[in-house]
Amino acid sequence: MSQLKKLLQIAWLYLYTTYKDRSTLLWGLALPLIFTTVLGVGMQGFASSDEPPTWQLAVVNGDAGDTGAQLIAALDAHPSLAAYAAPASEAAQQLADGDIAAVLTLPAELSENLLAGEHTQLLFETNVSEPRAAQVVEQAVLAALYEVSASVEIANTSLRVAERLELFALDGAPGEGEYLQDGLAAARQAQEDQPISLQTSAVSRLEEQQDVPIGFSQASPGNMVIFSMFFIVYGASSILLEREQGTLRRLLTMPVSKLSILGGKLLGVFIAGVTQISLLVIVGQVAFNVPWGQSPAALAAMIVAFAFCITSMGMLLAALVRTYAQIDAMSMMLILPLAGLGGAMWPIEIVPDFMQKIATYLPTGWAMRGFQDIIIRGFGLAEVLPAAGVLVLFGVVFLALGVWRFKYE
Amino acid sequence: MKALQIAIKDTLTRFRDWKALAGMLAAPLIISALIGLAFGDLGGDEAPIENIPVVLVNLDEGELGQAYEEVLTSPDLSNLIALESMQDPEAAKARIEAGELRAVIVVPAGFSETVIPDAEGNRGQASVELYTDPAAEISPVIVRSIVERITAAINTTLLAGQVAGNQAAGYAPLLGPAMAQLGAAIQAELQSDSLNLEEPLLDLNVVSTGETGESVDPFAFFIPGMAVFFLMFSMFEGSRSILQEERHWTLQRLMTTPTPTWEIILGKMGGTFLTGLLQFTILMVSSTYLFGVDWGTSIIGLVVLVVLTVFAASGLGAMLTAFSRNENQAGVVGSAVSLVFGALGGSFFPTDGLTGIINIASKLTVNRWAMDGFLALTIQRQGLAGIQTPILVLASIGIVTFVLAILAFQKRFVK
Amino acid sequence: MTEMILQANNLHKQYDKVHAVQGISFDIQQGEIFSLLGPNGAGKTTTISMLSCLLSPTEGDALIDGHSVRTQANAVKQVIGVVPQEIALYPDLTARENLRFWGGMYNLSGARLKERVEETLEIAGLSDRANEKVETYSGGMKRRINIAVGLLHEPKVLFMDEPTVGIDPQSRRRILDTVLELNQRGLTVLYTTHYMEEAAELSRRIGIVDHGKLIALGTQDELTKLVGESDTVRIGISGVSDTQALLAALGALNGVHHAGLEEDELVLQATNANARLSQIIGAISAGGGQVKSIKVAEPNLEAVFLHLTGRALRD
Repeated sequence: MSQLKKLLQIAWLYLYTTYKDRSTLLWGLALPLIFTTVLGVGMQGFASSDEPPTWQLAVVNGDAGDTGAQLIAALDAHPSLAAYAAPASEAAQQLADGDIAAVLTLPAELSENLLAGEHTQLLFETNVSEPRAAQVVEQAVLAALYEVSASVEIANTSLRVAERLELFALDGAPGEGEYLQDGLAAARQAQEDQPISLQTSAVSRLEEQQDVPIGFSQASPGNMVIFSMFFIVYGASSILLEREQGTLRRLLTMPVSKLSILGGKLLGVFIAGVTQISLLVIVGQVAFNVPWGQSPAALAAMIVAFAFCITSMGMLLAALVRTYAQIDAMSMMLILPLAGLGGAMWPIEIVPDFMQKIATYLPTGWAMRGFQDIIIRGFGLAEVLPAAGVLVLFGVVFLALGVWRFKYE
Repeated sequence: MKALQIAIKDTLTRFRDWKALAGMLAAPLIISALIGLAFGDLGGDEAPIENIPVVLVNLDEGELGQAYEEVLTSPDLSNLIALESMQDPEAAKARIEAGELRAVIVVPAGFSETVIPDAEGNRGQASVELYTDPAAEISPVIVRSIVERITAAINTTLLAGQVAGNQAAGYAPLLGPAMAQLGAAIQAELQSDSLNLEEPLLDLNVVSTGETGESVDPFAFFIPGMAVFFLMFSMFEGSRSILQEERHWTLQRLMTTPTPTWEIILGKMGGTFLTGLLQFTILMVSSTYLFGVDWGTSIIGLVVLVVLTVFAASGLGAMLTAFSRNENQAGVVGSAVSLVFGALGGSFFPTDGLTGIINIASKLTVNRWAMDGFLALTIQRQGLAGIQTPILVLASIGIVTFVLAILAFQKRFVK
Repeated sequence: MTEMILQANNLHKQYDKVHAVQGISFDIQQGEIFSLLGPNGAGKTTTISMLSCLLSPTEGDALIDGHSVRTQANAVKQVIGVVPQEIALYPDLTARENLRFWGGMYNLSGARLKERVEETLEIAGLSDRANEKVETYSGGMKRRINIAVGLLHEPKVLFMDEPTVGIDPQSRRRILDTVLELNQRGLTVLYTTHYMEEAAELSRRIGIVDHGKLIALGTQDELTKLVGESDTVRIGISGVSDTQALLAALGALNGVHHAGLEEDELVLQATNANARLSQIIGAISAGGGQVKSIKVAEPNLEAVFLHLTGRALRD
């Protein structure tokens, strides 16, 4: 019983010294929030998610026929595009100045080629300093071109069917040109009423589709995982500092068991870690609108499991390095790769298969998965238990190895 | 002259310390390699995203469901999509939740029957359902655009038959008995090769101004990003060594030798600068060999930019150290500034998406100007003239911080 | 006539509130070892810092080899060698690298630098381990290299600030021998210490410093004469109820100049103490006390300090 009391006293001492130090606030809260904000906005790409931006597209219309004008109208109708006709020199200047996202040039033979069913390539110029805008505009232009191409395909098909029926050999039949123009008009009209539509929905248990800014559903848990690793690993390795200062030796000469010393220290680190993660979660919910609060039980399970896992990892690290000074170099080399491989720095889905496999062997991979399952899929306690369980398992192994290998002297 | 001796001594000491080397060289290279692996550009130019796990639940008994399946399993898509078939939509959706699938495509029962016109030319409307993984951002978009493409092609085919039928029917009296062959003619035409659904008649020839047209190498962005990020750390650490020398009394001992104080301070700052220059150069050279980074076409521009980046970073490190209360505070401030600058200044992601106050904050960092300069050299392949603004800003930061640092250190150490 | 290599004249150093040095003056003759003796915090290091141009005096000046520490710092620095109390060396560099670097700072270069590095390594007795990093050295070895750095440019006067603090007796002996040997070769040394025995062994003349003031200055003989012929008697006692009365009684005894109490030890200054012990013990018994130990010491610097300040030298 008295050992337990001593353990708690040691834990309390750690918490007291940690929270008395103002740099705790900086590392534990201020820096992760700055990173979350900046990376969240950066990954999202846009300053505001409410209103999709409108990109300016200049069209140099050299087309002798009327396809060019139709195309411009179709492009301008796109929600993210403002398309307008402009002379070549003016458009080039605007592009160079970065005023517009892209320039589309329509050749003189556009209408003619199109009706003849010949492929035509249109020059599409973008400015490299605006790669994101260029991509959006390119997709929109391609979609509009597909519509126009399809209407021509439809009219041409209709024309060939009439040819098969030898319509044009008959007296009183319309000319082929006239038939094609009629077909084109009919095709455009028919395109208004497509037989097959595509219905897309995301699989999520979230009751209402919340407006989670896309960047933040990655940045909020990602930065939380990265910074809590730094925070907790440094905390746990402070036991090395105690060894170097001689306070550990002094403790060992007193009637305190080794279990109480390590246990107390780690308990303090664990509590500080849980507190820090919880704070980041709260700020993520309030400031960035990340739906952390869907299932408090699931969230609590994940936070506790993750904090335990990382505290144990810190203990293992403290057992493996010789001096406190080495922690600096080691933690950089350990935590940043762990974060990157586990998907805390960028979305795990963008990396190749074998890298995604690696993530399933890392605590950071499971942590990101569990946390994102809560905020994106709306998982409850039962569904996150596997991820939390894996983290606890990692923690138990790390802790056992760390306590076994730790040198008190 | 003695300043140079002090600078060389400091540089030598730093490059002998394996812990310092780990932070200065190993960490940025490891992280860059990791980023390279993540973005799949180490082996060549394969697509960064491949084998997206997708399930098709085809409940349709007609030919259109079959068509979806055929296209999705075609050799063209076999790298991009790993398709599996299932019969139960709910079971498939559960596999999305389990993180095993990125998307589920459901073609409902009676689909073909609904949308293919009957003998009277009447048809209904139907939907293909696409369920995506909300935890993924990019692969659902890819799957969606593929399904959209297939759907558009089928729609075009259906509409072609519809328009051909209606248009010909308009001339029914004229065609007379030939009308009986209309259905067969449409069928034959739709199955012939002349209906082109693969390549639209109009296509784009995409040209990016200021670029050779190749895709942007992620290393061209991340290597300078990481190099500048870790440079900031080592510049703060280097500057801190002057306070460390004060603690060890070697600074006081230096001041008892016939060496002017300004020369000692200059030597210490010069040592940090030299260390940074070496660190950056080694990172550049090794990344060129390891990752094949292309540093652009302007060697003069590159040299000037590197020198001024290190100058500004070491000046800033020295200034903040000079105004810190003690070594400990200098350490905290240094790490915090390095991290925040890294995040704001575009060491981790391109800054072109930033707007408003964050963009302004970004422009207050050394990292931002350095990155603007490097990207102008490497990606836009500009010369010295193209990086005038970053050069001027970095030089100004360097000069102001250096002067302030020397003055503050003088005041601090001459008692 | 002996030449004065150093003349300190009314040196003052005042920080915001602390008056660390309050008017210290002394001369050092060419070729002597001069010690500043005093407890920690007496102002010895501040004085040496002013003499080495690290701190500029608030008032007063010092001439070293004819150069003012106020106005001719660079000329002063050329003729002095400084051995600070701290191990002011670069632990990551080897001993030889340290010496080469510091030699450069003293304007040595080329063959001359090389020669002096080897010579000072020889003096430190570390020629065979010169290529090992200083951080791997023992405390005593670090102290020796610390001294060697101060000798590189063959200074006219060497300032040594507590060079034996915190090392084992063997290393201390070695350092004292080195100082004596260097002095025999003609080097003038200013030595500060709070160890009375070191000052006594090394130096001809000694200045005693306390609370920022030089309270006595002279040869060892001159200083001990200050306490007269009196011996120091230390008596461990117990059972005394009224110590003030006992001290008064002892002070009234014939030949006892001073009676004081340090913890449970009586400290007396008495002429020809051995002959008066029975009287003294009698007085203690009369006061109800019991004598547990008696120690009689001939006059020494410790006694001088006690005589001058009423306190023991060691804190």
